[in-house]
Amino acid sequence: MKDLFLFEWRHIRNSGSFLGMLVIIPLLIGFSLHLGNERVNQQLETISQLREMEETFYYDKLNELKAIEAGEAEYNAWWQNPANPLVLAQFNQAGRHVFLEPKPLSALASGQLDIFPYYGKVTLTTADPLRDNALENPFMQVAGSFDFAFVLVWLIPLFVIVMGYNVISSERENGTYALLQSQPIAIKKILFYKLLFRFLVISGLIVISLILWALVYGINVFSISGLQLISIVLLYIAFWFCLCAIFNLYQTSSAVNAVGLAGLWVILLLVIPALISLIVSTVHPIPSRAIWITEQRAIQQDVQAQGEELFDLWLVDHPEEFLEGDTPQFYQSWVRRLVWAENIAEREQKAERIFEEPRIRQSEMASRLRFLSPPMALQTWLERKAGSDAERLRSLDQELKRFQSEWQVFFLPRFYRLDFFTPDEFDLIPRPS
Amino acid sequence: MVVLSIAKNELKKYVRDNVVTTLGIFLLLLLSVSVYTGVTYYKSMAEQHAIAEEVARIQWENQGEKNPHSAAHYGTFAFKPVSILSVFDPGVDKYTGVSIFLEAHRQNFAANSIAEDKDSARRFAELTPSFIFAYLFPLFLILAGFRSVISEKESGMYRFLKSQGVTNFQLVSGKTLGLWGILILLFLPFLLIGIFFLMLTDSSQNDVFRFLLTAGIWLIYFGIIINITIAVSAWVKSSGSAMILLLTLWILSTLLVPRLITNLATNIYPVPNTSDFYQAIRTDLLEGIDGHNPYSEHSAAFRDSILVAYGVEDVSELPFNFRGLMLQEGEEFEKRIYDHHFAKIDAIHQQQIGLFTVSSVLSPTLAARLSSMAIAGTDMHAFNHFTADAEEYRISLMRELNMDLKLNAVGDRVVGYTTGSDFFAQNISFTYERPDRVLLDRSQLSPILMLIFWFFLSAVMLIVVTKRSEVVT
Repeated sequence: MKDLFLFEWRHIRNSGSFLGMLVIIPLLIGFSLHLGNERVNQQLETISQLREMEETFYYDKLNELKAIEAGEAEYNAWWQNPANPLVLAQFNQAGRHVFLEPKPLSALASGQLDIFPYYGKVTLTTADPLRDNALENPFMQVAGSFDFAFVLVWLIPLFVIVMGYNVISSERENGTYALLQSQPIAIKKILFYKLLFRFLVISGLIVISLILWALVYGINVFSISGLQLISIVLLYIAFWFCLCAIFNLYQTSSAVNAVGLAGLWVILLLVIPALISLIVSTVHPIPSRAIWITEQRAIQQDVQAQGEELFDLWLVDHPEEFLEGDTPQFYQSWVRRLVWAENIAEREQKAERIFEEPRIRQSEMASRLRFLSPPMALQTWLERKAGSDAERLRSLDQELKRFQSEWQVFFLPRFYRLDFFTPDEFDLIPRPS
Repeated sequence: MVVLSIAKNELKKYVRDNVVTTLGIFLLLLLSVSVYTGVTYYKSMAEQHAIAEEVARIQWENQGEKNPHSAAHYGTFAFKPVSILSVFDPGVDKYTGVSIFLEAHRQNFAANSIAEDKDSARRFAELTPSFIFAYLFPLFLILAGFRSVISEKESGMYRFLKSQGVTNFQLVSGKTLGLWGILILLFLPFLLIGIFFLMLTDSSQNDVFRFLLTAGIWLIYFGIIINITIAVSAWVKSSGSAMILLLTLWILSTLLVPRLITNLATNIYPVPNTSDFYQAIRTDLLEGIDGHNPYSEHSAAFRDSILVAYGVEDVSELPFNFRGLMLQEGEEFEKRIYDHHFAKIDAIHQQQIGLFTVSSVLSPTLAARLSSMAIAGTDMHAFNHFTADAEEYRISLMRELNMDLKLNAVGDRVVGYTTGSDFFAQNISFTYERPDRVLLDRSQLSPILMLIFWFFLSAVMLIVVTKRSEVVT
C-alpha cells in the first residue's frame, strides 16, 4: 500500500489538473465563505439596528412618561400619551421584531434567504414578515448565488471525477495495464488503493481549506455541527469516488468513463431535481396568490359588513373585558377595530389552508423523493444546518403569530380595562424569546 | 459535395450511435413534458388571474357607500397576466410578485411571487424549455461532438481521408454540418410543437414572432456550442482532454460565471432595503427632492395660486371642493417623488444587468438567457412595463375619485359626502396589455449583440483551428 501511495503521489504531483486543483479548491472555498460571512454580518447588523430602534422607542416613551408624571411635560392628544397601552403596543414604532437569528454555520449556505424574509414585526393587529429585500433584481434569484453549498454540492464532484475517471482506463490506454496485471496484487486492489489515495488527497485538501478559512472568518467548525459537516463532506466525496470506481471496473475507455460520470453528474444534479420539482408541483398544485388576494379582501369586506354584529357577539362572550359607561371615543372605536382584526386574522388563517396544505404535501413528497439525488439531499442538509432552508424561513410566520398571542395577552386586557402604564411596568413589556 | 458526404456520414453515425440516440430521445421527452406541463400551468394560472381580476373589480364596485377618498385608501389590485411565452421561457416571471396593491398616496411594489409557494427543489433546476436549451442541449452537443474530429485521428482514419484528397476545411465543415443535422432533428419537433400550441391557443402574431425570434436566439447559442465543440475536438490531442476541456467550459458558462456575477452585482450595485427606500421617500416628501420644494411649501403655493386664480380669499369660497383638488395635486406630487426613487432602483437593476451582459463575454449562456427572456417578454423590462402601466392606472383612478370629491362634495354635501356603487362601477378598470411589437431597448439588445459576437468568435476559432497543421498529424 505504501509503495502504491508513493507511486500515486509521484504520478499526480506532476499532473496539471492536480496542481490546478491545489490552487482553485482553496480559493473557491475561501471566496464562498467570505461571501457567506459578509451576508451573515449584514444580517447581524440589521438585527442589531432594529433592536436598537426598538429599545430607543421604549426608552423615549419611558422618559416621556416620567417627565409627564413629574409635571415637566404634557401630551396634547390621547395617541401621544406614553402610558396608553395602544401607544406602546400598536402605533408608529411600537411593537417588537421577531428574528430568525443566523445559526453558527449560516455562512455555509444562502439557501432561500433571497426569497424569504428572516424577520418580521408584531403589533396588536399585524404579525407580518418584513420583505426588506423586495426591491432586489429578480434576475439574481433566477441566476442563484455563489456559496459554500454550491462549491461542495456542484463543483467538488467534478474535481473528483477529474481525479478518478481514468485511474485504470488510462493504464490500459498507455499500455501499462499488462504490467499491472503481472504484479502480485489484484487489479481491483490497485484500483482501490489508487482511489483511496486520491480520495485522501482531495478530501484532505477540502477539509483543511474549510477549517483554515472557517478559522479566518470565525466560523466554529470544532463543534458537533462542524464535525457533522466534515463527516458529510467526506461521505459526499467518497460517494463520487465510488461512482468513479464502478466506471473504472468496467473495461471502458477514459472518454466513455468521462462521458458516463459527467452524465451521472447531470442526472443527479439537474435532471432528477428538475423532475422532482415537476412531479411535486403537478401532483400538489398550489393556487395562484392572485386568488388569495381577492379572498383576503372578501374576508375584510365581510367583516366590515358585519361590523356591529361581530362586536355584539364578542361582547356576549367577553362581557368582563369591556368597560361600559363613559369611556373615551378612541376606546369605543379601537375595541371594535381590535375585535374585527382578530376576526379577520382567524378567517385568513383558515383561508390560508388552501395554500398551506398543498405546500406541506409538496414539501413532504419532495423530501421523500430527495433520496434519488444525494446532491439534493446534501443541499437540503446544508441549508438546514445554515438555517436558510425554506421550512425554517417559513416558520417565521408561526413565530410571529406565537409572539403576537403573547403580545395580545399582555396588552389587550390592559387596554380593555384602560389600565394605563406606570414607569415601573415598562420592564414587563414582553420580548420574543 | 465532399462536405455534404462527410456531414451525411456523420449524421448516420449519430443516428446509429445508441448513446446519442438514447440521449436525444430522452431530451425530446423532457422537452415534450416541459412544454405539456408548461401549457397546463399557463392555462391554470391564466384562468385564476382572470378570475382574480374579475373578483377584484366586483369587490371595487361593491365596496359600499363611502367617501371617494376612503375608497382611494381601500384601493384595488393590478394583476400581472401570465405570458403565453412563459411556457417556453419563464424568465423572471416566477420571482416577481403577481399583483400590486393600488392605493392613495403610495406606490407599492408587486407582492406574492410564485417562487414563495414553490418547493425549494426548483432552485436546483426547473424543467422548462429554456432550462433544457441553456443547460442540457449544450451538454448533448458536447457529448455527441467531442470526439468527432479527434476520433478520426485516434482511429487513423484521417490519414486515409487525407489520401483521398479531403482537406481540413472539408472535414471540419462536414463534422460541423453533421452536428447541426442532429441538432435540427431535435429542435425541429420543438419548433413545430411550439407553433402548433401558439396557433391552438389563439395567440397573437406578435407572440408567434417572438417565439420564432426566441428560437433563433437558441439556434445561435447552439451554433456557438457546436463551433466550440468541433474546434476543441480538432485542437486537442485526445478525446479525454476534449471532454474535460469542453465540460470545464460548460461549467464556467452555465454555472460558475452566472453565480459569481450575482454576488458581484449585489456587492457592486447594492439595492437599498425597503425600509430605507420608504424612509428616503418620506424624507423627500417632507423636505423635497434634494431639499427643494417640500410638500408643505408646494401645497401652500398651490392653494395660493388657486385663490388668486378664482379671486377669493378662502378655499371655502371656491365653487368646488378644494380638498378634492388638493388631494389630486398631492397625488401628483407624491407620484413624482415615488417615480424619482423607483427610477433610482431601476437604474441599479440596469447596472446589475449591464454587469451580467459584460460578463457574458465569459459565458454565452448568460447572453442567451438574457436575450431569450428579453424577446419572450419575461424579463425585468417586461415586468417594469406592467408596473408602469399599473401606476398610470392608479393615478388615473385616483384622479377620478378626487375629481368626484372636488365637483360633488360642495355646498351642504361637504360634510359626510359619500358616493356608491353606481359611481364605482363607472370608474376605469385595468387590464394589462402587453406591447404588440417587439421593442427592445439598448440594454436588451446588448446581450443579443454579445451572443452574435460569440457566434462569430467561435466561428473564427473554428477556422483558425482548422487551418492549424496539427489537425492532420
